Amino acid sequence: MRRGLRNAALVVAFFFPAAAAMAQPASADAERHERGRDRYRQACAQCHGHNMVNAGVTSYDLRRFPLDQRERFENSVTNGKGNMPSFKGALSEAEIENLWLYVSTRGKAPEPLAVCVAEGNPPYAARVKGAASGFDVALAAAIAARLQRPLKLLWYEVELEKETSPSLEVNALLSAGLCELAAGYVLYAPALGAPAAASARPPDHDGAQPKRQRARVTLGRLIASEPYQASVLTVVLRPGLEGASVRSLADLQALRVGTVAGSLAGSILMLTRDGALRNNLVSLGWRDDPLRELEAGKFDAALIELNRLDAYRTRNAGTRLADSGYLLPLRFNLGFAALESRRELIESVNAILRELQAQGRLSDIARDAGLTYVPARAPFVQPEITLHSLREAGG
Amino acid sequence: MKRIFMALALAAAPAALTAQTAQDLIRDQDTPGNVLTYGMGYGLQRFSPLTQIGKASVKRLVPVWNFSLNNPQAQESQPIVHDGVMYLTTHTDTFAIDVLSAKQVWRNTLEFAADVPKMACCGLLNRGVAIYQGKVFRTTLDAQVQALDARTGKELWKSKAIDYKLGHSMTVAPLVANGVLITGISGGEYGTRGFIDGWDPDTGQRLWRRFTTAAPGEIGGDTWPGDTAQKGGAPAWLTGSYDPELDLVYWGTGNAGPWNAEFRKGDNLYVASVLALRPKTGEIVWHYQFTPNDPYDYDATNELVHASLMVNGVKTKVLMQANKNGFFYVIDRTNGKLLAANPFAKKINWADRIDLASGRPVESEVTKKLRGGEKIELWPSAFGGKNWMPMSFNPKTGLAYANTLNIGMPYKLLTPEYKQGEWFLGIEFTGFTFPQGSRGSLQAIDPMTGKAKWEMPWEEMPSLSGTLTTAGGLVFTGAMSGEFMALDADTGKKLWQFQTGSGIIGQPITWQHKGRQYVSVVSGVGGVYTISGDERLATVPAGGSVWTFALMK
Repeated sequence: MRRGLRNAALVVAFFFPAAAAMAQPASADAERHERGRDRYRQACAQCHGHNMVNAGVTSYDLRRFPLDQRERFENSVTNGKGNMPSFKGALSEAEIENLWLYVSTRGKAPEPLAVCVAEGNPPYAARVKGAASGFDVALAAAIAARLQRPLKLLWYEVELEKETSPSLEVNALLSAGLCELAAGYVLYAPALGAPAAASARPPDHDGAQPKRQRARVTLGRLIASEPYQASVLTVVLRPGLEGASVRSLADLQALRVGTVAGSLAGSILMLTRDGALRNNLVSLGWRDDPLRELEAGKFDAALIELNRLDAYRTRNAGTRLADSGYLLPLRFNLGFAALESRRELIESVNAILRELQAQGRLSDIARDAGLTYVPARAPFVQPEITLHSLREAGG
Repeated sequence: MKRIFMALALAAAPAALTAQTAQDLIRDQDTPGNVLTYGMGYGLQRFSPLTQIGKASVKRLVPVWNFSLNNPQAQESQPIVHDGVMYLTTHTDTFAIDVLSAKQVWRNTLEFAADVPKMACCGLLNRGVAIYQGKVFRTTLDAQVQALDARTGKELWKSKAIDYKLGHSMTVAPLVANGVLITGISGGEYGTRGFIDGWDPDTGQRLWRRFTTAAPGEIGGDTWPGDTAQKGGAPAWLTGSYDPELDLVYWGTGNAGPWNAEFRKGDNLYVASVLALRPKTGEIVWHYQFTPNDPYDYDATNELVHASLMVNGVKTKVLMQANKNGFFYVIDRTNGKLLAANPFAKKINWADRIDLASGRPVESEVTKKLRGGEKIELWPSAFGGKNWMPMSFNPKTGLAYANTLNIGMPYKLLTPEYKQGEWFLGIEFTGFTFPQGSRGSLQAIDPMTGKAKWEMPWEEMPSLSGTLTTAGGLVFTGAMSGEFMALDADTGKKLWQFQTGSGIIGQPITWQHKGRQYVSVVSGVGGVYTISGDERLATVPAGGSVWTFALMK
């Protein structure tokens, strides 16, 4: 059943075309906390103790300062209180705010929630000039905010055209401790639980060593959150075929269909109806953009992930490509992956996802990211795919 | 006739009350009825010839009175006793107390602006008064010098040494030497320039100022790059000693500023030094620099204790200092020549040794690493192998009794940033490194070797209390947890102990009144050790008071 796993890997690979690595913007909160700590060391530590460790004998023990009395804090710092001198003029409002962040966290900067996201995968995740955007990014930010932790995104590249499995690479990122969650993980049974290999090399990521120096990482068992979106394949038609009705892949019989050999869509097209569509297929490379070619009229239809059509539409406002409205019944749910040891974190993520779902926030976030929201359907985790199921996928 | 007699009597009365003449101050150590000087004598020996309380009788020592100082801050004041009145200070008050009844004779209270405590690096405190010709003198946290009428507590004059807003404060007990009132400034952590002032005790007019860093153009000015001497530190925050025969005042100078020494390459005269000054003019007769370029907050302000020691078979007038840098120095006080410098601190890694011929430390690999930009673990820490708490010297045992510290700290250079009124360190100050077990001990140190004849480790918190030693063969000291105790000066055996109401970081004294020997000490936790973050401090209640003990009748 190696083939099944490989196909799942390709699904992942297909979602994440490679893109150049860019700098990670630092978390503003962590920076402010650090500035507060530095200011504390210079202006406060001589009385209140290093790292606020203070016996409370001759000066106030700030570790006991009530967290709900920010105003009192600001007032004491600004105007002084008892032997506490006034810092009016010596500390700016922004500095006092940073100090409060330091004091009200008892000096402990909240550990950022590190989430691995793949490069160049709009509208799920992408970076343009250092600014991160996309559905996965916004969702990760919403989760981090609810966990009261700053968010740290770790961008990695999915390398195409090579003999490696993206699920193992994501596992390597998690097992190396580079991130606690991986976004956009395909909930596919063989890609969860025990890894298919004992070790793997993490993919290229922010701050990574050159590939040859990157050590292999012993892989752990993976678990996943509940799904937050379903990834589906749709049939897109070239301009001029707007009215054509597509109710199953059989309806493509008279059309030239562009596809990437070896991708999930390509495999399905090859196998559907015992290869009846084979002669209709126009073969494309991994780096080709099927929708651009389709728009140019090089073929009549493409079977492609709905999110890629979303991204294409965002980029090309005047597109005349037509969505057939047909969605392949075989679909994969997306969720967050984590090491099995982080079950507690996954439980928290699940609770947050359910809350967001209940509030209708998931579809809002999707809309803002320019993504067609497709709610997940049971089964949450896709069982292993067989040749037979690929044959039948097109209905 | 009667009227004339009355007039004569009135005229004579002030003379009797103002008996603290220059001669009285010189004879202080030999007149145990009074304690007229900080250090119990110009030589700062904190040694008393009194013997009524001795090794056998000390077990009958009991408190005879306690007096609240109405102050919850650090109590480090050494009481002065004159004619049955005790004078002592807190950071806010000066008290005169009747030594028998423990009733307040008078109290003078100071007022401060709200930002003054910002400039106090190491606790809100004051170390005591000087007394001279019917006047009591003290310094204030807002960098002023005040003279009070010893009988009434009424302010006679108050002179501003400098604008405290620059980062200055004053905690020092003044010294009166050859008729001149001498004070030193604090503020070495705040990017200030240190100085020592001479004042006219009658008027509060400043007679001279001796800056302790050499500006460009002055002798030693070439030991500072650019104008770094202007923020170069070298405060003078502890009281100097005086040799009336040589007419020299010896005053220790503090750390260099900023702590980052790479910012001010050179010896940086006169940081971490002893200056031998003419009290009338402030002229520097000689100097000795303990820690040239001072990279580690190694103030040399610790008490400079006089003794006559046999050095190479010659009886020599020496100065002794247990320096923060961990070495015990013996210096010829006639000329500033180094005679001995041996480690007394448990662990020293900043220097391998002190070279006797050149008088300079041989910096270690650790210090080279620090200067090269590496993070190091420094021993002793900025607390020093010994901090401010004065040691005593007993001429009968030939030993110096000092509370010492064994604490390290991580140390790494940063680019210093000056902001008026704030710490100007230029190092990453993240706390301290504590050894397993004891963080300090009371040591009976042989001055010429630095070796301890006996040692009492402090099992809980270290002590930052001064010591007192007597001809009765005793050493008195206090614990951070409040126990006041007497030890056998020869063996270190604890002979007596009493739990006071707060922690002791004060300076015990002993004196005699109407044939009875008394011992007094202030109790009141706080001060520099609170920076350590030692959680055990939380078990010691704050609250200043003075305790006086005598043998049970």
